[in-house]
Amino acid sequence: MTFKVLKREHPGRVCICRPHLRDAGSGRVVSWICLRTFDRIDTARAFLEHLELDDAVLVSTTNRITIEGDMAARYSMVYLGMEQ
Amino acid sequence: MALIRTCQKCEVFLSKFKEEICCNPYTDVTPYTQMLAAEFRKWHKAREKEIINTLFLNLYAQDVRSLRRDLCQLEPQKVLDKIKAADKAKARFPQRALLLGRLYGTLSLYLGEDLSWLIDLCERANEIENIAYEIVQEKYEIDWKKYKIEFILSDFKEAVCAKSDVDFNIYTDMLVYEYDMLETVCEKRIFKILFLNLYAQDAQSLKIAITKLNMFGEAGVVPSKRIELLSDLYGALSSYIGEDFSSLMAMCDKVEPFYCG
Repeated sequence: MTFKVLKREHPGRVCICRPHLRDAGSGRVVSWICLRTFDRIDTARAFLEHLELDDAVLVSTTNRITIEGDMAARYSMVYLGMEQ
Repeated sequence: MALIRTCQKCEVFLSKFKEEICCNPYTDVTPYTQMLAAEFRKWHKAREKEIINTLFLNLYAQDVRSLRRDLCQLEPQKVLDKIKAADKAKARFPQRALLLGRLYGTLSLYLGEDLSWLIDLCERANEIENIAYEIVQEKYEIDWKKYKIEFILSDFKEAVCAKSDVDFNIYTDMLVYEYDMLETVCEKRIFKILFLNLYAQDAQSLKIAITKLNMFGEAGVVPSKRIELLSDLYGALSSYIGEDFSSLMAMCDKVEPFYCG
């Protein structure tokens, strides 16, 4: 689902998503697979660790989530999907 | 449990509506019809998710950890591309008979043991335009229901105006009955889509599959086969699920303590 659909389906939630489709030129994620939604970012972060998936990331449908360190470097393109 | 919740919510709606009628006997019924229709839509969606979740859970024989793991690995695009590329339903869903065998428990739970209407459906699938029209009509069932809801609320309004301590039960029952009808349509629509995708225009194979289901009941599936069946089930119901597995995963988390200890 696109970020727009994600926002419509899960308003005000933090979603754990995997990239679905990427733009061939820029590599930017244009569509997501939503695995799970949460109210709170810390719960979502804990669940993400529990899932142990390489390509899953958190996507907020309301606020920008600050990503630091290794995570930020690995997923900088993916995080473009978030609301700025 | 769900029915009790529906009853309670209908009572809350009627009670709010009654309060407003008591303040203003000329209260417009439309906003309440719309609110109730929106609520029906919400319950309907939740019911749809519940049925789909039950199908997936049954496919994995309540092994929620494996289901969660496989869902995380599922590539929706690949599944849909494969379905698109195949010309016949059998090629799209090679494991369909096994899939139905595994889902027999859920199917008989919702549809009973008489699945003959499904054979009839597949035989009629040649008139594909009619079937598509039926399915679209069912999709907009809540919009048709608005007239019934409006009728019930108008009737309720008249009753409150005539006698302020009117009994809620009869109106709650009428609303719950309408919702109940909607639920039946919702259940049948999901299974119709599932069967039409798996067996469209192949009534003969469906007849064989249903006969086997009735004779042998639920099929056991080895864990290594489940992932293929998961793809088939996803492919057949992709119009509902899209790329959103959140409801399925939430269900896995919810039931995990009960099944995995």
